[in-house]
Amino acid sequence: MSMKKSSHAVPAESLIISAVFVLAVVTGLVLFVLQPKETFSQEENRVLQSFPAFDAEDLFAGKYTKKFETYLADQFPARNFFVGVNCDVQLLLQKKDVGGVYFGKDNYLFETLKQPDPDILKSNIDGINSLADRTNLPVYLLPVPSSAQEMKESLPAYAPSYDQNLSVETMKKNLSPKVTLVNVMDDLKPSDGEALYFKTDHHWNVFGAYKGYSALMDAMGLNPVPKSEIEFKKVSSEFFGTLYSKAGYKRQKPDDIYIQQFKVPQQITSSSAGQTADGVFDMSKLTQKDQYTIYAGGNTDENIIRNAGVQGERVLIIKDSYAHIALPYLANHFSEIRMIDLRYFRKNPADYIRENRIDRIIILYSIKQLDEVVTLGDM
Amino acid sequence: MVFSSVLFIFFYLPIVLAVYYLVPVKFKNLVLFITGLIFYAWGEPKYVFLMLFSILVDFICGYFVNKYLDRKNIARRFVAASVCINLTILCIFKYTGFALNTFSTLTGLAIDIPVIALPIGISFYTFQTMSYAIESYQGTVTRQRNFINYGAYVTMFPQLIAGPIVRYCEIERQLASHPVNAAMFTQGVERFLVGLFKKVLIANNIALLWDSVQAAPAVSTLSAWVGILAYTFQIYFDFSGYSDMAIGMGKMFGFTYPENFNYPYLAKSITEFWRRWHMTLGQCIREYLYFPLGGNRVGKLKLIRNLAIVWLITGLWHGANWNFVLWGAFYGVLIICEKFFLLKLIEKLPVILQHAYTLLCVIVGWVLFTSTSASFSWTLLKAMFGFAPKLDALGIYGLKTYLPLFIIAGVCSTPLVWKTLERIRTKSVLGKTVWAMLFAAALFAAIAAMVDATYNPFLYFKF
Repeated sequence: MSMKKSSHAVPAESLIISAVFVLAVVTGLVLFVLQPKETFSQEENRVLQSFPAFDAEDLFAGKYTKKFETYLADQFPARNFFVGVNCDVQLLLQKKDVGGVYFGKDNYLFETLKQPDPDILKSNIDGINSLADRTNLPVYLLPVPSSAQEMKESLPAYAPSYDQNLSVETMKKNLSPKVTLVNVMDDLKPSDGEALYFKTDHHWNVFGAYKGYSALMDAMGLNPVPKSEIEFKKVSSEFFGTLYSKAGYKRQKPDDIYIQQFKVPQQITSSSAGQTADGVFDMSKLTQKDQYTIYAGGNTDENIIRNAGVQGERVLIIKDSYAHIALPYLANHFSEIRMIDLRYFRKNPADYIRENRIDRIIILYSIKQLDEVVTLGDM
Repeated sequence: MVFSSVLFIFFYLPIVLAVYYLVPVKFKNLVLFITGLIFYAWGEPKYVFLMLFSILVDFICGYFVNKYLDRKNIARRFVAASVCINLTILCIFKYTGFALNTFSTLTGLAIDIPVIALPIGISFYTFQTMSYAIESYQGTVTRQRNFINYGAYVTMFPQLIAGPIVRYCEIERQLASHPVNAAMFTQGVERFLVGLFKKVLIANNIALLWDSVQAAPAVSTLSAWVGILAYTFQIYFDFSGYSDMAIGMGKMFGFTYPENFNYPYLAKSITEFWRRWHMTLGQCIREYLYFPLGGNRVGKLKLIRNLAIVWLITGLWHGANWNFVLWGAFYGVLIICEKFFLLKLIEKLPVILQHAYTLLCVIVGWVLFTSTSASFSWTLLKAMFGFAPKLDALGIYGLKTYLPLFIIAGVCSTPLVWKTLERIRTKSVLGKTVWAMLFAAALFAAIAAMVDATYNPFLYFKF
């Protein structure tokens, strides 16, 4: 090739850099072609793009090329490794947030709180009010603050963070008198050194959920099971939660996962999608990356939890995943809990409440979800 | 397809380069033509035909302009045809919505405004296709008999969608012969890597800070300045990084493209800034608009008129919206003032104040440029000049966590880093090693950033 002839005029370091560049590109290309393709990313909790079948219509609509680019990106060799490298570069540059996650004190990761669009919360409140009106049942709303809200002093210095108290004020002002607001903003502030939230995940942990559960029981006029009657059993010390995944920080220390065991024996069964099992935990989920799903088995449209040991009421829980970890506590008090997730639930909630002779309704959501996603708007 | 993507760097570029180097010389321009069309069609599967139409029109017009060069009145008609057809296409696809919107606002009439997507790069390639007919008429270039060569000139992917704008006269001779040697290839790789570093590691990162200021419910004086400074660096490193990558790839294919940026933020006046910023656009506007209008060899009033036209059009070229018109007008007024009296005054100031004046004007310009919402620009300007709380957490946090990046961006905006790098590589073996390590590290970090850009955790819903 003509290149060789004049190579004596080219400085060695230039040849080296060009060789490094060519080598890097060719290695990437060859590894991409040779390596087996993945279908699901545990880290990102989503299905990866597989090779897109050719489609002329897609091509002219500009969709095919987009799919193809997603395919290359999703299947790129050593993808997770490079994500970690990029996170390290950001931290080296003294950044204190990466991928929407603050790097806080004591290895705490926090989901950043942005100013929400106020219409979203309004629409969710309207949905709750109209449910209370139509059903005429007592409704309890338990909004759970984020760890970034409750642990402000552990955030990086001066980190901007939306004040979720403003959202709670909006709820106070706009909720119908038929809805009882269970305010846990003070309860979940750190006290006596007990961690109430995970460090690598956006959820509250068993101890945080206990605080929420106690406040809810007070509001409902029931007595919570005292903490002394509960044994917290560690089932994993290898939990890497969603914030770990979002940040892409590979040297993060994992969290512990506890389950709640009650000294009084229980006769609890839970069923979901036609399958019935003993207890409320799905221990098989410990083998998956997102171990938080051992609580209530993760997100599904409907869970039914029956406690043969009590002659209690029948309650409906409308919720996001923050409710899952509180479920083991709540199961002690009701003969039947029906827990639905409106993101997947396709029946009419009002009809469902009537058909199942529900006595009371608990609405348990993270404030972030109420602020940012319309899920209760069209009940 | 953007240059700073996994698709481009690991797939498209190596495959095209391999094919290009393997085919015999006589097919090289054909490879450039076809791969340019594929590159364009990847993002614009329909508008690629529009671009082909432009190419065909100008090839034919240019051909006849050259043929009738001794009969100026016929040649003029073909130049006029080329300019009219090109500008009509540009107006239809870029300015229809804007014109109708303005018309309906002014008259209060409700019009169904068609939504026309802007074809990528149309503002860039229109200049290039037109330049052939115009320059033929001016007699600076000769007839191109080979359609493939002409097609390759327009569609050559390194400069197709974001410049530098290569005028036909600058590349006419290179089109006939553009051999690559090892020196050119390695220079090309180095330039490409510099561009990649600027775009992926500086521009894309500092953009996050500007995004967070834009998304904030309220800004303080500090956060307004931190935000707009971030944008000031973002737009420079984004655009000049892209030009560097284009120039670098041009070299890999044996072409020498014109330079597009010459440390614009070091300018000591607005007049000088525009000689250093997006230089190829300035040349086109000068050659094809300002000089035909009479340039500066006219009376004072006409000169003001000419400058006003030039700057309104420059503004509009950047985008079909009133904020770009305003931005153009802002520079028009500054340039007219500098031409008539301001420049003489400024030159008497200490150099540091000359820089401060220029940068202040440029930054205020970016406020107008960056947002199509007048109320946002106004809020930002008010905050910058003290009509807001002095400090807020966003400003302090932004400044603190982006300080190293600001410093890197600041020094990379001057020749200091680049000259130092050149010096150490010629000094000693140790210097060469350090130089090579820095380039390799930048490449590694840039790959990580490009891969990470596609990392998209999907954490709440699983369908």
